[in-house]
Amino acid sequence: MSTISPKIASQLADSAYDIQTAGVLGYRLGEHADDLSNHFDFDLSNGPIKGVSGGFLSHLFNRTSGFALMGEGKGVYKGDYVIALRGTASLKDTLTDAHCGLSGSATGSMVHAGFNKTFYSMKPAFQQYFSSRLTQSSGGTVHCVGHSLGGALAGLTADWLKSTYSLPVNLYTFGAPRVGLQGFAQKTTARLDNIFRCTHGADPVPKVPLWPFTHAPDNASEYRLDNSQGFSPNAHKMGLNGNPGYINTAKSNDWASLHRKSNDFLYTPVRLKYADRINVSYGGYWADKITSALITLLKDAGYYSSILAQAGVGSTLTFYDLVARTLTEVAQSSARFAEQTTGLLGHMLAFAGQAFVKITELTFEFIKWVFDKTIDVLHRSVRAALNTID
Amino acid sequence: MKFKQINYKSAPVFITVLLGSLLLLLSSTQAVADMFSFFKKYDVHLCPEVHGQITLEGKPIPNLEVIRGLTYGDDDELVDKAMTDEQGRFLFPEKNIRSRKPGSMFDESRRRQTIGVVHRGQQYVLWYTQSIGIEANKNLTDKLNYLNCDLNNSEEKIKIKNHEYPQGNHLIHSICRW
Repeated sequence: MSTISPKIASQLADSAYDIQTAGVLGYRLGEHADDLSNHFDFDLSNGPIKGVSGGFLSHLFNRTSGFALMGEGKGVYKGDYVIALRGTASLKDTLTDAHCGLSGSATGSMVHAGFNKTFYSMKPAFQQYFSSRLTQSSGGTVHCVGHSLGGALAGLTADWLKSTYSLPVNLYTFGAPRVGLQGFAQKTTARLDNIFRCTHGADPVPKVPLWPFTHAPDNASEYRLDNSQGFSPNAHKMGLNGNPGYINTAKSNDWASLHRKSNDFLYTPVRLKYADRINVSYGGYWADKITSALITLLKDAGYYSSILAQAGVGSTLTFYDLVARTLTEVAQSSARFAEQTTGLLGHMLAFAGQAFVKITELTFEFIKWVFDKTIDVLHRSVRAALNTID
Repeated sequence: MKFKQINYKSAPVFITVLLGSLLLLLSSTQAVADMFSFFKKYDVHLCPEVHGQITLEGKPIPNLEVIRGLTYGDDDELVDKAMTDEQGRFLFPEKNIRSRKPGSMFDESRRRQTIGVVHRGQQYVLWYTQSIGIEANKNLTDKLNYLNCDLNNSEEKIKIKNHEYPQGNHLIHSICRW
């Protein structure tokens, strides 16, 4: 089994944006065509694999555009295949749509309905491509690569490929959002041979959709390619003009040389004290820590399993309604839980820029309001437009 | 009639209140500012002025149609044409567009510049490159200032430095020589 380097993976993810539409002179790859053609052949005579993304209207009119770049390995990668998928500007709405629900993945786990729909629009083309090739293949590795929504699609593609064809499958993502619930994350982590999840500290996209959506690999490990903090829209960019731009930070030829990070508090209990809320800053670190504190509180009070069981049923909106309702009950059950709930809510208020709000009564209305504010501020980081280009 | 009278009297007050609250809303709410930045348009440079000359074994080819195709992200390709003169020379004007796309953090639009000709049934690529960003690229502009294209030349991949983003390169597919 082979692995492609961070450099090649990022060049593939970047090149997937070169093939959106055909021109009078057809399709050609951009800047990395030269480097990549040392390792892979890309037959673009029939164009890339098309997909449908975006809202209701795009699906209605079946508006397709180039989504997946397929390559066949040569040299040291002989027998291997690469699939590079691109993101889309229409992702903004999908990611922060609190009404968006879940649907069953090709392997039977609950995943984001919007991502899944776009994957299904490409699945027949993948099937056709691989059914004619994998029979004569020498049993090489399939490398699935993608940035942003493309990373989510690469995750769904890799999961389906591995379950359909018996061959090694690796996944490489840059700034990808969470694809599915814990069940999907666990199963796909076990199923796939390697997962290289790359992030920038200030990229808000890997922080959405919110819990109960969970990243794979489910041991919370990621390759953190920079030291940025807070949230910055420019940190999400793949290309040269990003700040820092994944193409610029993933130049390494070796995964071992990159910083592997794991937020260990995701697996240890987090109990927040109200007085400590002054430490909160707006960014990915505290988004994760607050989520861990919420999970800890639900576990401590014995509600975690029943809440998770409800996650697959409704939308984000109705799910957090249920969470707020449950916390109201939890807070009323004992003085200890009331204190722990107050600690959590205090941190959420500080995160949402509402630190001045005094917590008096732990009513459902108040708790729901705190959750709404926190979700809103997280979603806003993803919706934020770039007002200046530098 | 009574209804009409009241309406006339209160109209200026009503409009003032309405405009006032609208102004307050526009100037104070971050959410509204975000909403309007979505409508903001950016200048996107697609191609500088292009000068070129087409020859075959050194002899100029007059009256040959040259096609330029410019694409921004998933927009429709903008195609224009020029004819070579007696010396085989052709000219395309600079092209800029306005677009909302650069305002989105998810925007990864590439700009594609292609220039080609068909001569005796054969297609020749005078220029094919993709770049990122919205400003003119100095090193591409320099090359496009004179495309010296002999149709006998082989198509090559030419790598040049990206002036705006020095950590990257431009890859140009072309039969031209500089």
